[in-house]
Amino acid sequence: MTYLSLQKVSKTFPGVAAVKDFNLEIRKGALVSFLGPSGCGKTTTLRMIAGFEQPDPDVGGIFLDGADITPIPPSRRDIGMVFQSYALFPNMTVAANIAFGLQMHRLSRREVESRVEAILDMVRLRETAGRFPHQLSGGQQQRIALARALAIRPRVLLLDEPLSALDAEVRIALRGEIRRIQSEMAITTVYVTHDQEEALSISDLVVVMNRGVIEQIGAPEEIYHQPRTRFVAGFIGTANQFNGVVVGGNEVACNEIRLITPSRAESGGSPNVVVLVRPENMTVHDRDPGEKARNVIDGIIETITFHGALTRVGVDVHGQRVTADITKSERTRFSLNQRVWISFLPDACRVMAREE
Amino acid sequence: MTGTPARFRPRARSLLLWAPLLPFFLFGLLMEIVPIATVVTSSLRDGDGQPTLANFSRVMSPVIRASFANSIRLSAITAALGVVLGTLAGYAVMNARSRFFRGAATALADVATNFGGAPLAFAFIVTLGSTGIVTLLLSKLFGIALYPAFRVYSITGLVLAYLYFQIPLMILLIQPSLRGLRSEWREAALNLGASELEYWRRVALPILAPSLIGGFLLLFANSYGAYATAWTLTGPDINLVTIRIAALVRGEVQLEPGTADAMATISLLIMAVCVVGYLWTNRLSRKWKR
Amino acid sequence: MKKPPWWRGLAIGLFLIYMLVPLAATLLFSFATRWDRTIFPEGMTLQWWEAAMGRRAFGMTLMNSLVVSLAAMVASVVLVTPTAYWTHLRLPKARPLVELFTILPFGVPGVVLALSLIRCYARFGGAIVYSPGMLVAACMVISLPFMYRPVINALNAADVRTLTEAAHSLGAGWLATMTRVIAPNIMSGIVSGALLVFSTVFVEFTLANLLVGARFKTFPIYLVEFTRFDGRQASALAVISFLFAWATSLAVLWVMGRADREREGALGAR
Repeated sequence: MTYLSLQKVSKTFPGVAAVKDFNLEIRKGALVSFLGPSGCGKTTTLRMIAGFEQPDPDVGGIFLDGADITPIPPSRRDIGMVFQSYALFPNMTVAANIAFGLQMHRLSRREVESRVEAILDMVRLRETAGRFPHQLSGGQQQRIALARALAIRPRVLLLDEPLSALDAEVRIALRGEIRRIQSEMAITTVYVTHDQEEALSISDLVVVMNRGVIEQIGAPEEIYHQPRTRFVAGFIGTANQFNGVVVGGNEVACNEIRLITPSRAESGGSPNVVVLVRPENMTVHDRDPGEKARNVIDGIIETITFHGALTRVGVDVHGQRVTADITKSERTRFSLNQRVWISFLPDACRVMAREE
Repeated sequence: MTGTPARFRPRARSLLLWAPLLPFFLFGLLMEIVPIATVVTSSLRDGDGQPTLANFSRVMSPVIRASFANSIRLSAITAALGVVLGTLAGYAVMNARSRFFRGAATALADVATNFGGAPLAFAFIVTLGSTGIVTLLLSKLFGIALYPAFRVYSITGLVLAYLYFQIPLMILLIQPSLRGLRSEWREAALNLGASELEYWRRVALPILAPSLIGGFLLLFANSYGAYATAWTLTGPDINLVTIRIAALVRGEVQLEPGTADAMATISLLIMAVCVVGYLWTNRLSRKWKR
Repeated sequence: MKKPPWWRGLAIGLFLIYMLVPLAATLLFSFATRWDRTIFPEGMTLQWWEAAMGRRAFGMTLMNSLVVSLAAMVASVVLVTPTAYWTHLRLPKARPLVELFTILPFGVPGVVLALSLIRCYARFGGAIVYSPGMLVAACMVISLPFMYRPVINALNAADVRTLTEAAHSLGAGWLATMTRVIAPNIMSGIVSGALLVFSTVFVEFTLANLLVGARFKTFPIYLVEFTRFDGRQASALAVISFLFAWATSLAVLWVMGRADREREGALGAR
């Protein structure tokens, strides 16, 4: 059941179209991420939902629970927002910051007090109530900003890259916290980030954006395993891209290589395609495995880079750099300048149309 | 340095580190500390060098008490008006659309705050004197006669003249603080349900408060210590602390020298409160900038 | 998007009028034959300018002011720059004490400073305390904050510590570092401070009046005499005074602006 919907929303600033024809339906209680590189329009769209930017008039609108909220000013939309810089009021204590929204909504003193306590418990920062923002760490400030937005029990929660200013370790812990709180309160949430790992790990739905347009909308796994555009395939995770031409049925010729692809190719009618294969779906062999059912390509190892949990080898295959993952135990079998064979299943190939 | 026992070395080295600062400290000592100490101790002594509070009791005379009252009142008025008008003007300038205009207006404020003294007083005489341009304009175009009800050679005229350098000073002082008012705070306040007015009342003004108070204190001190403008505009007839002290220095009035010292000492105390207060508000607003 | 307040134009307009009208009036008055009865001057003339500038006293007081200002400027640069540099780089412990001396002048009105100096040093003879030298020193005191602040800001902005370390790592000794790396980078601060000192001392009336008075007249004293004597000539002198303050302020802004641009360039594209 759609709770928040954006219809034909666009935003043009002088000289640049920041958001073009944005259409999205979000069901109640879902956590949706807007994911994309800097300048893709995700923050602008978020600010339009909050009411700090107005969509281009007469084109589209934003609807909450069936009602058009586009003309409503931000102070009356009942939408909570967590800013990238937290925006905690420096002249007020933590408790006063949280109480502020409740006072603006004219709650009684007792109600304000009890809600402040409850929300501080929920983010587990009860002891900071009397402190000032500058006395808190970055992670603590972020949780207080979240608490302040949630205290007014908004209909929708918006988060604008809330974790980008924090250390990696804190980020991972906090995004789990945010997800936990969000699902406990079952509050419809829009989360803007440029970190794909973040988006994939906590979202119900991911909206991938690029240069003002939506590239793909889908569940995290769908986005990852079935990217529908080249941009999504390149932006999400790493993928090897083989440019080629369809030569009948499920075979693609990529220069000197022939690849067998799944029977359901998604290239539309165009013969020019690109085949995408992720490194983790590839197996590296030190001799020709001679398998018929799999694709096999060979080349010389140029680089071996250690990434902690996995090790990545860069192999020169007919002039193209192919990236494949190997495990710790396999590491000893390979060295630089060694000739290796890389095999992968046809199902690991994703075929997409390619404009010349 | 080798061969010197370790426990001697650090002390000698650290003393040597202070050596290049000696000229500066000597200057400060001779030109600031010692003279001030001299005047303060001198205020506590009588003509024979014996300790006494007689100078301060003489300061309590009606005339001198009135001069303090006048100086404080004048400074408070120009400081308060300067803070309000300067903040409004500073806010208006900051919101100007053209970047060139913002820079030019700030430059104008920079220049104007250093205008003072006789030239400024004289410019106001030309503008608002009995035959000044604005006086003539008002009487000929609008039929309004400023004189004799209003005289530029008065405290009122002095207030108008002082504001000429007080307002630009406030504009310069408040700009960093206004710039430091992050737009996210306004958006967060609106997002939480506040109106513009509530935002200003509950968030923006409290955040600006240290700068406003600090600005008031600095403007107060600036006005209190001013001499040349007052002397040129109103002459020795006006009863202000700085005018009286100057008259005593010049030996124009035959009074015990200790009186001047006592007035100076009290003035220094007042100024010290202002400067210390200003520094404290500065520290406070810096703490919030994180 | 935040909309600018509706009263913005009005406020700026009023501010500009308030600032510019007295200046314009003074300027016009100095060129007017007579201007005490009508809205516009009755005629234009250069006679007041010629009279005011023609006197021998004009050149003499101008020269006196220039000498005092230059002396105070040079002495301030020589006194403050090494002090600020040394404190910033080698002895941060001394900073509070140094800054105390630069804040103190704000708390001492001109008349009180003059009184204190006389009270303190008159015992050594009138020649010492009522001399141009004492005037220069006293002017240095009141302009100390204006010299110190730009220099210390430049030291902070130029990240002197890192530059010094980089210079040392490349083999430069103390002198080369100071002259070829540090000084050029803080020159904008030194020049700004020097200009501020110069302009502050040039227009200083109180100290000149009380410390040297009739013995060594400076330009502001000359001007004040005319306000009692002949308003028209006084206005010409006032215009000179305004132009002068305006010119030095613009020079300071230009120097600071150039320094900002250079620094942005050196930091590289962000």
